[in-house]
Amino acid sequence: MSKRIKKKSLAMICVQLVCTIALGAFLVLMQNDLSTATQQRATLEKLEQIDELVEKSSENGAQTQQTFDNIYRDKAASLAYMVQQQIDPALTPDMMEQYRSILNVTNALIVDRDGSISAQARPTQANFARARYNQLRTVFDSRTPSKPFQVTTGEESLRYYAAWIDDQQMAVIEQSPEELSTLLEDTSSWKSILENVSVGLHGYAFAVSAQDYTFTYHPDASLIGQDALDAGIAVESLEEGNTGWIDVYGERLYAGVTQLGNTYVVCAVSEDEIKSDNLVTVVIVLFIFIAVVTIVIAYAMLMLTEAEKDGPKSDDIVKLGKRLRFHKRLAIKIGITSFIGLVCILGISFYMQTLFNLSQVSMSNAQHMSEIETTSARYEKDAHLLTDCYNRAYLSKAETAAYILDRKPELGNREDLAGLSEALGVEYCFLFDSNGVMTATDSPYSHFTLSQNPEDQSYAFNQLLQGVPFLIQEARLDDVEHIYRQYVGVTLRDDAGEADGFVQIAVFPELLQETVDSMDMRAILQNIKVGSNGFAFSTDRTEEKNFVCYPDERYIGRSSLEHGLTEDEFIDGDSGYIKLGLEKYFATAKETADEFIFLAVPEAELGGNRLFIALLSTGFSLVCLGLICLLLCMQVDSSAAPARKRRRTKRSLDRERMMDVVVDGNVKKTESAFSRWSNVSMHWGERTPEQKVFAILKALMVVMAAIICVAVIYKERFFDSTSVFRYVIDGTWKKTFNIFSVTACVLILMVVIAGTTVVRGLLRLLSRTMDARGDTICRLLSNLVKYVSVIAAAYYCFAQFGVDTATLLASAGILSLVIGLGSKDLITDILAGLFIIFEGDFRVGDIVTIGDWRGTVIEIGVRTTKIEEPSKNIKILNNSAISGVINMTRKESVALCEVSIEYGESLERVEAILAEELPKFKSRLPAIIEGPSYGGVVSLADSGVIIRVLAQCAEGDRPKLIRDLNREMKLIFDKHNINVPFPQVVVNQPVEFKEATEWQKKRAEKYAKEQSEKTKDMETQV
Amino acid sequence: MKRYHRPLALLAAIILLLTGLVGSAQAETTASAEAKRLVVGVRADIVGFGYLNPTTGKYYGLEIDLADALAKKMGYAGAEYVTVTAGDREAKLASGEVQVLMACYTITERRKETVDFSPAYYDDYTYIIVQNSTLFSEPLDLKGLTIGAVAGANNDVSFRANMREMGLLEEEPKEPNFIFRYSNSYAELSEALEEGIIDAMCMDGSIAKGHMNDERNYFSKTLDSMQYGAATVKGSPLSAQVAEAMQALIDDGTVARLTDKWD
Repeated sequence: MSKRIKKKSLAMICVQLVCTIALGAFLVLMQNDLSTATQQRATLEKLEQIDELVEKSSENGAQTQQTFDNIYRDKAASLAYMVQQQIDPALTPDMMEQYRSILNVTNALIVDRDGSISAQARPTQANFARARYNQLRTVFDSRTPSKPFQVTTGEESLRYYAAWIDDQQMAVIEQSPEELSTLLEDTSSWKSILENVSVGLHGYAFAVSAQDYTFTYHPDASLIGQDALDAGIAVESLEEGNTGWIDVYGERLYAGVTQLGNTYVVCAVSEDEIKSDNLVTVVIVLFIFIAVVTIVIAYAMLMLTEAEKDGPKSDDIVKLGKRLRFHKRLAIKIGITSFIGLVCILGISFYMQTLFNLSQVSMSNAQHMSEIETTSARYEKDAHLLTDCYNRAYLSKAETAAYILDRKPELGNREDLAGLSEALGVEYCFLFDSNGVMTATDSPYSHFTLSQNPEDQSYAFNQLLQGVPFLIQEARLDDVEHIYRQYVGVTLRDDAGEADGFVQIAVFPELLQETVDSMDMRAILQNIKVGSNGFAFSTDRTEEKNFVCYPDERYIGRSSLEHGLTEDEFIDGDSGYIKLGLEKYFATAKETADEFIFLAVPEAELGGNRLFIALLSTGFSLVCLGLICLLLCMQVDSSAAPARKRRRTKRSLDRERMMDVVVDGNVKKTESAFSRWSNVSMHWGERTPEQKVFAILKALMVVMAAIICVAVIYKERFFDSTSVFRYVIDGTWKKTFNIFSVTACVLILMVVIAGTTVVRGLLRLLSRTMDARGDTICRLLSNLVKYVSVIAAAYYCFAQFGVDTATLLASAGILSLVIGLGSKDLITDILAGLFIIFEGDFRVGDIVTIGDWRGTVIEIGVRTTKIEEPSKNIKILNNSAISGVINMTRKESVALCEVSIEYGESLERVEAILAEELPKFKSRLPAIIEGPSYGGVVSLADSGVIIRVLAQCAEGDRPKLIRDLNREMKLIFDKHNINVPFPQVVVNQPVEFKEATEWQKKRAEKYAKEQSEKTKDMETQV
Repeated sequence: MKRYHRPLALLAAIILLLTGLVGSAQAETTASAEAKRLVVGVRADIVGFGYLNPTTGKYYGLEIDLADALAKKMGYAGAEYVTVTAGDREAKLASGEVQVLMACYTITERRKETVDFSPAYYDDYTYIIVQNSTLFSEPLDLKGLTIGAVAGANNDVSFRANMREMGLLEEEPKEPNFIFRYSNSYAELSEALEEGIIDAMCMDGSIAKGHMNDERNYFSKTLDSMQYGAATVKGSPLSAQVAEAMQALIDDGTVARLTDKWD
């Protein structure tokens, strides 16, 4: 590489750094801006919801209080009625206590206009003469029960209710508001409202007093009462409608504030939650950007180096101006690379944004679902509590009616019952005799007998006639009038205490019903807001999956399956796209005991700005890459220093690892088979720029894989549980083919790739230090790791895509059978390969003969074995086809030399000569390990006596040694005038053969030796 | 060599001096700095002014923030707070237990005879508060009834004068036409109103805020208007400093900002 290119590379690396930092900063800023804006929207929405929630809550609270007060006002009226009707002759304290007990109140009193007490059940602390109790005296003007008020004396609080008896007296009820405060505490305290509000995923709402800036409510109960300003909240941030960053005990939160009365309610989400995922997205996009830029720069630099080596080609360079040169060929190549890179960046950032958005929605939907769950549980409890409370109140009314009618049976006529109903605050009163026949009522129905049909509403009241003290029937639609009514009955008893008919009252539990109605699932779902246009709906569990709750009322009761939903979308916890009518939504489903609840967010809302962000980051990258490309292609003419023309150094290796091939008329470089099979990585210098670029790409991939691998393994340390990354890894999404499963697969593949690369690298290192057998095993292990990891990863991916892995495992047996039948050859090959390796029949480097094929083993694979024959051709044998192997390397081989001598020759003379000459061979032929020795007469052939000479040698040396032995024998025979018979026609003109001169002999020897040396490598095994 | 001696000595002296300075700066929390805190008497029972939060054990409110700002303006390290009550605040100031009173202390002519006041930092009114259940709707309803006030909070002379003006009181005292009951603390007064022992109570707006609830109301006609000022011992050298610092705080908007903060 020339100095110029080095300089340029350095400069380009600097440019790359600057661009990366700029892009990074740009992305971080933009992402943070966007997430903050999104959070702001969400927070404002949440504040609105809290406003509504608080309003509703206080409405509920007011309603609860009103209902509570109405009950006790009615009780005051009942007490007044009893006094008016003179049910009992004298109002003794005992009598008052009796009334108190029937009415089920804290205290019952009869108070004069001036405040003096004329009768009381229990002593009271109140001084009714005081102006404080003026409210009670309103009954003398209005004659209707007074408005309630509460007086706290010391520790004790009491609510006061009064009813008009006559112009001098009023009935006063004192009631401890304990039950009311419990109800209110459960429904309208800050705690009950805010503890179920979740902001974002892990955010929360808290309340700060606007008076003294202390926490009135905080999820962390120990903070309640602490000073909020001390906690770090700036006073300026506590303003109605304010959103922004606040600090609470050092934690940075994005908060929204709303002022409700004397309290600031703050919704806060931690900074980590907002920004954590931004970082992941930014890092990944940045990584891709760095990879693309690195590849472009490296590619350009390598091309330039190559061009420098080969010398400039004039048609590649375009002159721009006087000294400026533009490298056209380079521009095209890196242009294409950059374009592909940009597409990658666009794709990946879009993908990341989609992933991010979807997981956010998924997670927030899950959050909403759990909110629905807690709210519905809370409402259920509240409704139960309320119903219980009212049932007791209604029972008390019925008991009062029973008491009055028991004492004064003459009131059992229509007019008096009407007065009683009014005093009790019930709709109608009914009086039944012991036969279940109605004897008196103030209702329009004058003739009624208890039904004996268990299906009928009145049937249940028969049990009162058998002595059951009372019956509170659930409110339901009246059989007759189809109005929501509740009936309560109390048994009347005769003097002996036997059941003697009963009193029944009908109440119209309007307020209760309203309150309870406002608490059912429908109301909850209506209050749920997902994003800005998302909504919640529910369907029943019937075949048709009819809508139970839907924003558009027209659809309620209609089948959701006809509206676009499909059967397989009714899965608990499932998140995915659904179609409702013509619109597409991203929805999360939840299965409850009697419904399927869906939270749907319009697809259009999801997309939001993901394309915008992706395009923006791509645009930024485009500018950066454009700049870099331009800088790379431009060069100042360096005519002063002409390119050194340097021949590419021909490597001494006669096997070229790169070779030219002709494909479609284009000459392309390709890696030779030898190179591909060899276990040694290619020398850097031998590669083409493209190969080098691919190597860099591969390295970058490995780096990314390693990073992801570390991130996956240490996910707890790097990512908190709100992170999208954790969401994807933890696999709480639905297992089908979706963006999360694809991402999870990519991640796991990265981990597998990183793992196998490391293991295989180690094995390769190990194999270098090992002998042939070790090498074989290392190669086999390496292959095994490759296949096993691929299969395992495939299996995992299938699992992610929702393929039932258990079935897959079970079917693996069948599958292998099928594959086994179909590819039994393959399996035989693999088995044979295993046996070859472990039984050690032959190893890499052994010389073997298989069939009529003889050669050196160069690789034993799982499926095939490669054998190189002497002429350097490689035969690839299927392992199963390897049979009848002759391993010729195990022990020393014997080189045979058979020569025939004429029958006329004296065998003894020859043997004597051999005895003298053979020992000398060894010094001349170093390949001989032992011998040569005389092997005796092999046969008495037609034309001569055949004798054998043999010598031990290594198998590799044998062919050569045979030739050498033949030569030596010929020389000996010549020397000693031993004739070798050959078919001849003797024309008897004996010729005197010329003896070779000494010089010739020497030369011949030298030549033979030289040639033998030369051919040794070439024909080792022939 | 000798000629370096003097600069070296000088250098050593400077280093010594610097270390000394740093040392004293570090010891800021020790006695020397403690002495430099302005001791201010505040009302621990008035939310929003000098409230002592029982949970944190710290004081919060307008007067707390203002006292701190004032102390800093005067060159102190900060303010130190001492709880005073309506009954003992003059005594504590006179005895020197507190240097300055910032305890919802109304500027009156009579008080000016014994203490020096800074310019006023807060305007307030005295309200007449009643329970809704009494059904009183105007001051005249209270004629002949019991009205409560906190002892020592205000001189009832001006109250009486104002009440007479309202027509609440007969021309000249025809006791017990009208009964004034005094309580020791605002809490006690509020309790008395709750129980009906008194029929109405007089309270400064600043204090009333903490004692209002849904069942109470106040008449739109106020009984009195007043201004709160920081008080110092008559003729003390602090008086001028406090007055000057307070004026500066009023001028630079600190007082308005803090009032807004705690309002």
